[in-house]
Amino acid sequence: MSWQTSDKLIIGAGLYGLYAALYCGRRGQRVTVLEIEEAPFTRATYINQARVHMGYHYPRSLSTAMKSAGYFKRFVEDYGFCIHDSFQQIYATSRHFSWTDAAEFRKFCENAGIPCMDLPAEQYFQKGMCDGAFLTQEYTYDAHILRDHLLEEIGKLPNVTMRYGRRIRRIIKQGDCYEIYAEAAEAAAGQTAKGASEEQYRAPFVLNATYASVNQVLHCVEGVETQDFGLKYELCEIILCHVDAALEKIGLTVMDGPFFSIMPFGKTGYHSLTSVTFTPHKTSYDAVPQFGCAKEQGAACAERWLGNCNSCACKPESAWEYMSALARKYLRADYGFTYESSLFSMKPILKASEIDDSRPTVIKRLEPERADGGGPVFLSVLSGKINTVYDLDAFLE
Amino acid sequence: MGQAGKQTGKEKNFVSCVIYLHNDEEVVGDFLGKISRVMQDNFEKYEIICVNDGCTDGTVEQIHAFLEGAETAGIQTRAVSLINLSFYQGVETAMNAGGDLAVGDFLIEFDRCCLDFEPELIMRIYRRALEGYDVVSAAPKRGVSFSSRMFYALYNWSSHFRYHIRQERFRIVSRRAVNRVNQMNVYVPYRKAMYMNCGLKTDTVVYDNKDTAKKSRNREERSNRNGLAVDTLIIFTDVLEKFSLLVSTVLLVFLVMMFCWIVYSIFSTVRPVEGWMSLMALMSFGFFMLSVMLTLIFKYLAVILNMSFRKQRYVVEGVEKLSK
Repeated sequence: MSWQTSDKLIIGAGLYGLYAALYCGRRGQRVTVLEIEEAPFTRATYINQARVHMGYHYPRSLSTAMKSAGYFKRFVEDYGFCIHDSFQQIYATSRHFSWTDAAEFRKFCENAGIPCMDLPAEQYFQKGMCDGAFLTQEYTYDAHILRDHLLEEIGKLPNVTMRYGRRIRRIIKQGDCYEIYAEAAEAAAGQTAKGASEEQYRAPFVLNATYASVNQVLHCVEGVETQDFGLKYELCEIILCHVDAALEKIGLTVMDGPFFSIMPFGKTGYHSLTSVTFTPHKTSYDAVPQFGCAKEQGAACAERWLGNCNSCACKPESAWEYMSALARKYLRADYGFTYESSLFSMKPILKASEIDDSRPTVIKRLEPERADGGGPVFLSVLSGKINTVYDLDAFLE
Repeated sequence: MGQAGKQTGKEKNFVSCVIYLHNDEEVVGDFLGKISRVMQDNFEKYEIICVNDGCTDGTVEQIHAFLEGAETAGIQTRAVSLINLSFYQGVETAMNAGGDLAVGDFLIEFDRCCLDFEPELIMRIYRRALEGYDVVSAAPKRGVSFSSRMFYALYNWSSHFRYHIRQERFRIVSRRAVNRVNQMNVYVPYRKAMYMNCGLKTDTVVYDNKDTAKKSRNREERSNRNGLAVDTLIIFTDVLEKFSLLVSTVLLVFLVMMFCWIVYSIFSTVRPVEGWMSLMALMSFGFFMLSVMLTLIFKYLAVILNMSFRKQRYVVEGVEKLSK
C-alpha cells in the first residue's frame, strides 16, 4: 500500500469533474479522478433534459437567467460539436396554474436580454391551453459525444489519471493535504479480503463534484467540521420518445408550473419527455438521500452510497401514462409521440431555491483560506446546469 | 403503443377524479379510501385531485393521514394531488381549478364529499359514458331541498336547451366535453349548465340514496349558491326576458286602461276634479317600471362584463403532488 500523490484530487466523473480534470491537466498539474461507476457520465450529466440553458427556464429568477445566458454563448463555442441546434425551441405559458403569463414572460426575456419571438400558440397547442408561445434560442447537448471528447482530450494528458469503480471510505485532513482512503469495486462487493485493495490518495486540493452524493462525500471527511448542503432529493424519470415527423424539428416547453417539456435529447434522434409533477417519483428531505427502495433486494445502493438509479433493479415503474396524458392534453393531435425507454437519476435541489426556482451554482470551501494563503483546499460544487461549469474556473487557478 | 401492455383486464382509459373539499374532515378519509378502491380495482391508470377550497378544519391533515395509512390498507396512492385555493371561492370556481389540472381522458367530478351512493355507481356511470354519452350525471332521488327544486323548475321551464338539469352528486365528463366547454368561454359560471349545453350527448342516472346528505351548508356557501342561481338564470335562461316582457305587458295594459278612462271621461258627463291624481299615478308607475328595466339591464351588463373581462378563473395558492 503506497500513497498516490497528486496536485488535485477530483471526486466524481460527471461534467464538472472531467471539466476540472482537463482544466488542471492542461496546466500541467497531476490530477486523479475518482469515480464510483465503471464509466464517466452515467448519472445526472447524461440523464437530464440535456438543455444548454439560455435562461428561459427561470422567469422567477432574473439572476439565474442572466448568468445562463452569459455562459450559453461560451459553451456553444467551446462544445459546438456535441450541440444539436437545428430545431425550433418553443416556450409556451400555460393559461392556467402558471406562475407566469405571456406578457410577463415577454417582459422577462426583454429584461434578461434573451431573444423571444411571439408565435401563435394554437399552431402547437390545443385551443385555450396556452396563452402565449415563443420561439426562443436554446439548444440541447449530447452527453455521450461530450463525454467521448473529454475522455479523448484527457487521454492525451499523461498527468491525468482516471480511477473508476472507487468508493471513498475516509477523507482525512493531514497538515497541508487531504488523504483519501478508497477501495476498488471488487473489494466493495465483499468478495476479497477487506483492505486488500484499499488505496490511499493524497493531494492538497480536493474537488467534490458528486452532485447527488455531495453530502455523502462530505460525511466521509474527518478532522474538519463539515456543513451539509441544504438539499432535498428527487428520483427523476426522463422518458425518451419517438416523435412524428411534425415534431421532429420542434422542442416544446410549457411553463411555469405543473407542466411538461418534450424536446430533442442531444443528437440521439429521440425526444425527452419530462413533467414537473410526474418526473420526480420519490422525494427525500434528509441530508443524504434516504429512499425505501434502497433497502429492497437487488438495490444498487450499497452501504451508504447512492447507487445508479438508472441501472438499479428497484427503479420505479414508469410514469409514462401520466406524462403522456399531460402532454396530449396540451399538444395538438398531429404531434404524435410514442414510448421508447426511461432513464432514471437522482436530482438534488437546494431547499433555499424553491420559491424563486433559481438554480445557483454553489461552491463551498471546507475551511477558510489561511492568512498566508496556504492550507489544503476541499471544494464542493453543486450545480444543476451544464453551461455554468465555467463557474469552476476561478476556483481551479 | 407505449410500454408493454399489461394484461390486467382493467379499463385502459385514464380517469381523473376531482373531489371538492370544504371543511370535510369527518368524511374525507373514508371518501378517498372508497374512491381509490374503485379506481384501482377498475382502472390501469387514474389520478385523484383534491381541491381544498379554503378549508379551516382538519381536512388537509385528514388527507395526509389517509395517504399514510393507505399503504397498509392496500390502497395505491400513485397520483394524488392537492390544489390549495387561497381562500374560499365556491364549488364552481374550485372545480374549474381541479378540472384544469386533470389530465385524464375522462373526468369524474365529485361536487360534494358525500358518499350516499354505492361505490359501484361510479362504474355504472362510466359504462354509460362509454355507450356514447359525453356527460353522465348521478342524481340522488331524495333529499333535494325545496329551494333547489324551485330553482331547477324555473331553470328547466325557461331554458331552451335539449337537456334538463337537476341536483347531481357527481358526474363523468369526457375530455371532448371539457375542451368544448373551455373553448366556449373563459369564465365558466356554472359547469352543470355548460355541460348540458355543450351540444354533446348527455345522460343522467338516478340512484336511490337511502340516507340523504346531512351536511348543512354554511351561510357563506348559501349566499354563494344563491348568487350563482341568479347568475345562472340570467346567463342560461330567458327567465329575465320573460319577466321584462311581463312587466312591459302590465305597463301596456295599464296604459290602455288609462287611455280608455280618459276617452270615457271626455264623452261622459262625469269630469274628474283636476285630473291631477291620475296623471301623477301614471307618471310614478311609469318611472317605477323604468327603474325595474334599468336594474335588469345593469345586471345583464355585470354578467357580460364578468364573462368577458375576468382573466383568471381562480386564485390558487399552490399545487402539491401528495403521493410518494
